[in-house]
Amino acid sequence: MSEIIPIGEKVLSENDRLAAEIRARLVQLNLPSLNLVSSPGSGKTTLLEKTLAHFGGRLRIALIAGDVQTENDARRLEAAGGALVRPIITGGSCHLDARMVSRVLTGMDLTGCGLLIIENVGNLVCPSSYDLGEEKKVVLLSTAEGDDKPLKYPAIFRRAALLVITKSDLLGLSDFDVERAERHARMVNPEIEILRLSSRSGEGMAGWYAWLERLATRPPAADPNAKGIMRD
Amino acid sequence: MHEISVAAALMRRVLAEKEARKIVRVSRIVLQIGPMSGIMPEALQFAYDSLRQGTLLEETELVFNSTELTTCCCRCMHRFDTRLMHTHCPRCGSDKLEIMGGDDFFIQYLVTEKE
Repeated sequence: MSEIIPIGEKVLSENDRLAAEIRARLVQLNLPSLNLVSSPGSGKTTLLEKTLAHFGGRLRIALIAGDVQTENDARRLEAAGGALVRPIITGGSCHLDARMVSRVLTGMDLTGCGLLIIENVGNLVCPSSYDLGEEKKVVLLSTAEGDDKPLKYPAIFRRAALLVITKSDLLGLSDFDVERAERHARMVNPEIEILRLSSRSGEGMAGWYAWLERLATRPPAADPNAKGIMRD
Repeated sequence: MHEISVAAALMRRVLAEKEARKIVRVSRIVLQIGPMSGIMPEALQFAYDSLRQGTLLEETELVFNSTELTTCCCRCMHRFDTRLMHTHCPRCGSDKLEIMGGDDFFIQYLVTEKE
């Protein structure tokens, strides 16, 4: 005899539970956090290098740099100075998950840090399924890619709070239509904020720095969900 | 690409349920999956088929209930459901569209056997 057992739970509920624990901890520390996602080569590490150099000692940034292999990114970011950098080598996995982040966070002394940035593995598909407990997802799209990427990979654009269009100094050199890219992003996510910048020329970087500064200096959040988790 | 880890998480979840409820046999796992979930059913099926060999779920079938996207045209307010994303409203041709729903990816229910 067959019986139906309703579950009604997300498949990745195990990851989501861990992510909720991370989120509660970050709220407790009043530490704003970002999960940076993009395709390989859209300029995550370069943007972060410039960002670390810009803020220097003014804002201590904790950075978790995910990569499939090598600690190259973490080394580059460490060289940029001023930040607490920890690598995660996934050894083949195409995304970071909450367990990996939780393990690394446990060993980090976040005292004095004003912002946590998690640089995800270069991939627009898989990271969208894994909540890392971050406050906001930031998706990068470079002008060397297709302006229809938000439609081709909607899941990540839908979940991101901010879209950063990178390599704006290359606009006009390819068929990338920046207005079209923005329109496509808003189609899947009407609330998404959008910035255009070039880490190389410096164009638009002030807007990015201001965005980060607003996040880092905002008053302690009163997130009712996170509070509920902490009470448990 | 990440369907192997998704399949592994799914199996852990179902095996835990099987143990907790002392289920003799799970014959089917029914998943609800939306086009915006970032999960490709074929890839998940492939990953699951590779992983279930030699486990207590070896005979357990995976069933997908695929849902559709609801798109709303911001100009003429036409609402329509599709599997694939549209760039223009099929009624008025406007490209000012808003997509709603389609993120779902959860285990709806298990079909279990008593004997």
